[in-house]
Amino acid sequence: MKIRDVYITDYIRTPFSRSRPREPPRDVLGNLRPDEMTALTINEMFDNRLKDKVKPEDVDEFYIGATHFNFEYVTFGGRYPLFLSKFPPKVSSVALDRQCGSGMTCASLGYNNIALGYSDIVIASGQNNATISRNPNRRPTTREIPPAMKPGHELFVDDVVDFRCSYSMLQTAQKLHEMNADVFSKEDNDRFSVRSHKLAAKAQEDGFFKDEIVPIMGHREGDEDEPMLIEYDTSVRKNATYEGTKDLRGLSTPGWAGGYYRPLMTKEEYVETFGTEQGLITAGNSCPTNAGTATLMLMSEEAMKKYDLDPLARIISNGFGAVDPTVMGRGPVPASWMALKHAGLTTDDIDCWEINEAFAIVGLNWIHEMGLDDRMDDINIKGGAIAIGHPIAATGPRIVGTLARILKERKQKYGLATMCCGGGQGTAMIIENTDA
Amino acid sequence: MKESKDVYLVDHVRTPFSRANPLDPDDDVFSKKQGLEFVAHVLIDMFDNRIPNSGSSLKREDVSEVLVGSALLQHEHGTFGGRIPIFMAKFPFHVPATVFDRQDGSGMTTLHVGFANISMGYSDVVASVGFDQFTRVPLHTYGGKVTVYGIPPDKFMLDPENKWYNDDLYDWKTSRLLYQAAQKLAEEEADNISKDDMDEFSIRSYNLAEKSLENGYFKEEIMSLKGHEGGNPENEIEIRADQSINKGVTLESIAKMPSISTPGWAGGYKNPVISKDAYVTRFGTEEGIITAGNSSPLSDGASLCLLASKNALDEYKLKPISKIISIGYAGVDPTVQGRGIVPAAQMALKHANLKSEDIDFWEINESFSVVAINAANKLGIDWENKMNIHGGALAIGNPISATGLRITTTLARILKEKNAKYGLAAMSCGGGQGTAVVIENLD
Repeated sequence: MKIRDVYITDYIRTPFSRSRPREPPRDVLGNLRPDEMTALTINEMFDNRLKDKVKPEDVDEFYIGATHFNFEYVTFGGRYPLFLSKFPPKVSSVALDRQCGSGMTCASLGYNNIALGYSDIVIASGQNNATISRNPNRRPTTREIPPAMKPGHELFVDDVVDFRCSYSMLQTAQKLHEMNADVFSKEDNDRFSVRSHKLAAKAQEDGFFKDEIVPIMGHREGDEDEPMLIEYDTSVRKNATYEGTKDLRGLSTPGWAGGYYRPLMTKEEYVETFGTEQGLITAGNSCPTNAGTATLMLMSEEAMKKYDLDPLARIISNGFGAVDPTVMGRGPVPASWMALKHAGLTTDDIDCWEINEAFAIVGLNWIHEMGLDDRMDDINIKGGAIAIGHPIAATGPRIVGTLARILKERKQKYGLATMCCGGGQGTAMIIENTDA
Repeated sequence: MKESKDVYLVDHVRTPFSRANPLDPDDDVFSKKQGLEFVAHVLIDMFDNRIPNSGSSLKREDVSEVLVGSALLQHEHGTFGGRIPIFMAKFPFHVPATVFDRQDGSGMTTLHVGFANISMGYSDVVASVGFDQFTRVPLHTYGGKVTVYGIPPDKFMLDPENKWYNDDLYDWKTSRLLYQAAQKLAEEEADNISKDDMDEFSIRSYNLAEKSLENGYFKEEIMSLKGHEGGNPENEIEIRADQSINKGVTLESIAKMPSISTPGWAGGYKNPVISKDAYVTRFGTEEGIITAGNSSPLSDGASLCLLASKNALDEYKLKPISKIISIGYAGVDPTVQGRGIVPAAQMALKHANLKSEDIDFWEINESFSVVAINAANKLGIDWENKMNIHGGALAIGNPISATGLRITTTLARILKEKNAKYGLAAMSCGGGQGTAVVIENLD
């Protein structure tokens, strides 16, 4: 069977609001269910953007990604968000979880099914709202200690997996930074974060995000009774400076203080290297938690012609890989190499990159391991999750969609978007601007 | 342009299926086993026992990805993106995972995704696992008692004041209660399927499964797993057989079972398709016609199918059982979710370039008798001779996400046993979907 070409024909998202699980009224989108936000964006896509061209009933498949399926995230096999989005029942649906990579995996599976001729039009969405329904810290909310963590149980693996570290993204970032002690200082991290805020603020000012964001009715910060149209990502800090970032309190625990099993450095080495006893991961060099959804529309060439749509980009390949969950931030490395291998491209062929900034150290580590240290002008040029926010499963479709728009703007050809996933995985996708 | 690659089913294993009982957990022989343990155990059995014994050199580190499916990913079924069960099964960290929910079709969807990733050249060896554990993580409603692990958007979509109200369209009570969806399907098909047909179909399934159990037919696909007996978790024993297959069930005993569904005329679902008079005339009763006898029991367990590319067959000396020819999926009205089998099977047939009459054996999941009979009618299946010939979920049990991989496994074995070429396995999914797969026996 011939493998067909697959195109991204539309990309849309909500603004990303900062999650406030402890003070819900302060999250301006905190009252919206995640499936409700997904439906709002998809309704906008079909009612306005694609009006009279493609209709919901023309879609073959709907994929929805989320990082857990408790509480409001129950999807009934993807049916709840599907029906809220006004798709008719004949559209099939799947809900999936690959943690942070859930949304990008949705796009990968849609790409597969179109390439193989099983589907012509696929909608791939990712959703998250940590305020309305607190993500139970991603760990299974079980009535007893899971066997994997119960010493003496035949399935006990905590000595290897180190769940306390693996479950806490902060700790995984701390460990990753300690692994990179010879390469990156805390200052590198903090400066990378400030760069993200500056670039995102500039892109916001230039109106770059307007074409991808659907304004959504939320409420004024702190006052749930006062409706307000939310049009911008609320985490971007225009005035971020290195001076204001460098002294933020360390939120993570270093290995020497028991932050993870089998510390890489002694206390003395740590203090000598980093000039502090504290953890290195702060609110400044990690991404915030956010509410939001993002959606990609994928099409076969036939469908694109039939419905008279222009491609945003062509999908060239995807990649996925897995790593030690205690340093989950390394996941984008094997995923990116896999995507490059399948595309038959080298890093020199890629014009523009999006690496998800779960933490500054994740971005820096990936840049270094991929040998892209001198390519900073082509990486996350509109800012990243540290500023824009990271509504976990929604970020995959966002960075792929944003990358497609950047390639158009810069009239460049190839782009690679990649991200790490809690639990120790990575996903990647290579796209091509067909105009270039 | 690149060509897609061939995909083979190379091995399979499943746990015994126990009978779920969330209201009296100790009654379930596996009540102490978490769902993720089932997943770990089938993976461990595959890589510690079956693969080495088969003479293959395949090891855990050679697996491209592990895909896990479950209809209920709430509560202790949180998998951390599929990683926890594969850590427990001692897979090295470089093996990726993903977890899926397509309700009943979750397990078969892992097969679809593995098939697609191998076809596209992204993976070489994929372990697809489906599991459910209804005793510990029950459905939203069970036995009349609501046991919710998660807040489905009921109020949200059921409240006419809410802007997302859509209950007129989707009749959520019927859509969520699968026995009501079966009742509605039975009423829509009143001209084609009677209550007796349904009960007789159940007896057939019971008899065939009982015979298969006696012949030891299932032994080849089932691993043994520690459980308990006599309703006492202290009495540990090895469980080696499915727990729902009842012996000595007769048509009389099935026909007398009490109704569990409410007919449309009595408000069982919205916009009844037949009047009370027509209902009584047709079915000879005022009561609902779905009973415990003609619906599948909920069970706990997991199934695994191992898929491989041609390259992997050669490299690891794996012997293919079947080639996967095509997949199918579709959505239907969720209030008659059982119809999902038909368009999904048609899609798989179309992509395989085959017609119904080309299929030698079928496995059509028996979530309810009426669902299987309707699919057989619509797809033109000679069900007495060609469908579910070793019994189905009515007798064997339905740990729903594990079932898709069980029927695919059984189908592959049947094709070998009968020296037949093509087989199609399909199932309906709660929420109104269907999944299907066409396989070819390489001998």
